[in-house]
Amino acid sequence: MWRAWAVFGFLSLVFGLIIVRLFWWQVVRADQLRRQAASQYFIEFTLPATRGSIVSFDGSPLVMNQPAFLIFAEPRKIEDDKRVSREVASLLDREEKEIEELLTQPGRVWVPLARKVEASVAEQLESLNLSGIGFEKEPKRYYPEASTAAHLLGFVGSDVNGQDRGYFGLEGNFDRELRGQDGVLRLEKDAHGAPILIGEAQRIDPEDGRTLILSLDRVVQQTVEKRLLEGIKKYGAKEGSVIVLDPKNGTVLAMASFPNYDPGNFTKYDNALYKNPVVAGSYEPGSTFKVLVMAGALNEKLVTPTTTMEERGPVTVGEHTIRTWNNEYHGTITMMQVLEYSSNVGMVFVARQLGKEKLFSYLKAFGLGVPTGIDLEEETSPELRPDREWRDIDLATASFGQGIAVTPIQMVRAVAAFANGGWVMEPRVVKGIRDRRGKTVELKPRKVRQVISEATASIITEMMVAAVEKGEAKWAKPKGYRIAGKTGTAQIPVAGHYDEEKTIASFIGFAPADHPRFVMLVTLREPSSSPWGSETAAPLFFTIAHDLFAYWGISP
Amino acid sequence: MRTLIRFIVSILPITAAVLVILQIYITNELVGAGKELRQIERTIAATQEANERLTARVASNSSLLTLRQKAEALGFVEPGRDQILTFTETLPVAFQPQP
Repeated sequence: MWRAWAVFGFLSLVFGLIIVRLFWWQVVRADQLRRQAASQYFIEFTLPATRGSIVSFDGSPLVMNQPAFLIFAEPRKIEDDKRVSREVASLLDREEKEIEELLTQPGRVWVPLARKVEASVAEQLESLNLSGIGFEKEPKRYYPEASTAAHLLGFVGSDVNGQDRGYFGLEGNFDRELRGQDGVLRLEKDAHGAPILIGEAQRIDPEDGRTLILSLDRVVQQTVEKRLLEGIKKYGAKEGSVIVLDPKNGTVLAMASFPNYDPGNFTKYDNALYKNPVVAGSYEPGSTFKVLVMAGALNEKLVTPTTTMEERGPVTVGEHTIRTWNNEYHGTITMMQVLEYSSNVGMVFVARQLGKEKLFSYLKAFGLGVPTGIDLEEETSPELRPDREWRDIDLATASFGQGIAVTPIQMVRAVAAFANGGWVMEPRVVKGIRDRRGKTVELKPRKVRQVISEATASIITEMMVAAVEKGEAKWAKPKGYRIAGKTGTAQIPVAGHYDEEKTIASFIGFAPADHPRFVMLVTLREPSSSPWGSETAAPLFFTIAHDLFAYWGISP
Repeated sequence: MRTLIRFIVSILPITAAVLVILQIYITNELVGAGKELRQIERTIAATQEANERLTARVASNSSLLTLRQKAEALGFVEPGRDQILTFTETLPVAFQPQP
């Protein structure tokens, strides 16, 4: 009897072990085995999404895709390493030794040789029929207008996973919209790797990236860039920038800075050039800032254009002495003349009427101290110190735009309010987004707040027109046009003090003054021909304005 | 009625056999069509690539930089400041006085 039980026990043990083993393979390792099996009879393709394009307001492409390829090698399929290295190196413009080293690395099954190789070069390589050399589609960004609007557009590089990613400007800010979503195709395959039509198939279509439609006018952009480059050369400046906005809706018509870079070859440039100085570079605005302070005082009815003050000499603020830019004093002057003469002493008078608290609140209302919200990735804002930390000298110097920092986009957006009935707008570069089916979503202009009344805006406009007609830059103004503007010459702070010779020359204005079509800010850093805005930035502004009047058919 | 039923029953195996053979034949044909499918997909990809290249070429040829270069090559120059005439809405002509 015991023998029967022993046999039974032995057989039970054996069956138990078999069941445990089956459980192990069919339950615990099931997923892994299913995946291994699937990899043998399923083939999976990624259906890459096409990155969206960026076009100007008239639909002309500024950034698009062109066919390009990833060139790879399968070393085990290569018979003659030296010959393949030689052929590949000559076409890819690389060292033969470098390619040979890649091909002869031990244990490598797949080696990338070059990325985003243009289709013409890939075709030449393909025609050589080299075994072991393969090609995979890898589209590349193409810029039909070359480096036009480089800072605005940004560029496409690789992320940590080697995937395309936008950096800076629009490519960075709208990376998700432009990238789209890759699709997947899973097919059952036969022994030769060919898909089986009646087999199992799963497909998720790629969602191509969307196209950005800009408010940018490429004619205005190229005009601005051409004139800015000429101006930088003529006035011996180290850097320069120009921004042109439509004051009615805050849209950017042109934005240029030099030195810039070629977004198609961004790796060849210093990465300090990638940031857009118009939205990420701060500067002390100098006398262009006076119009904001004056507008605040006018709006509070603390002064009128005909209010007078005594400009008899320098004014003392604590232990500091404030002088006019040319040390000339005109006696009794009106507020109109304060702007015409660009009198620092006159502006200290205005600032004292306004007081720290009210001046600070107007600066905040004009949008200083915070980013404007423009749709570019790298926008920053210099900090605006709270008014409780301001000393009397800070109030005085802020009145003529020193001791306070702004970005060019903040400055031009604030002045644009004068041309828009006192309303500050949110600046925008993108006016619409179009998907692959052609459906366009328009991005409406956004009114932020009304800082000054329409009446005040009209008054300050007239004062700025008078400043242009009678000020230091009147010689350069196009005849017959009413242009509202203000020159600025700001000393550059260096290591805690102001440099005696280096300046940032600027001019800000809008035209035609009665029905403004554009507002523009021109800045030149360290012009060597003359430090003064009236002799450098102002003539450059008027030259560009002249071109814009002709382009838009604006008559005198 | 019985004859009809007998007839149907008698041809059922033949019908089944024919259908099985047809299925095998069609399956065999479709299985091999995977190769043709790949070829068609390759043709589509090549056409798309050619389209992309041509689109890029059109964009390049119609870019402002190219147009400027071509204009300069043809002898066009920038207008001088005094060469641009502007007409207001009212043309500056003298009208005959009304009687």
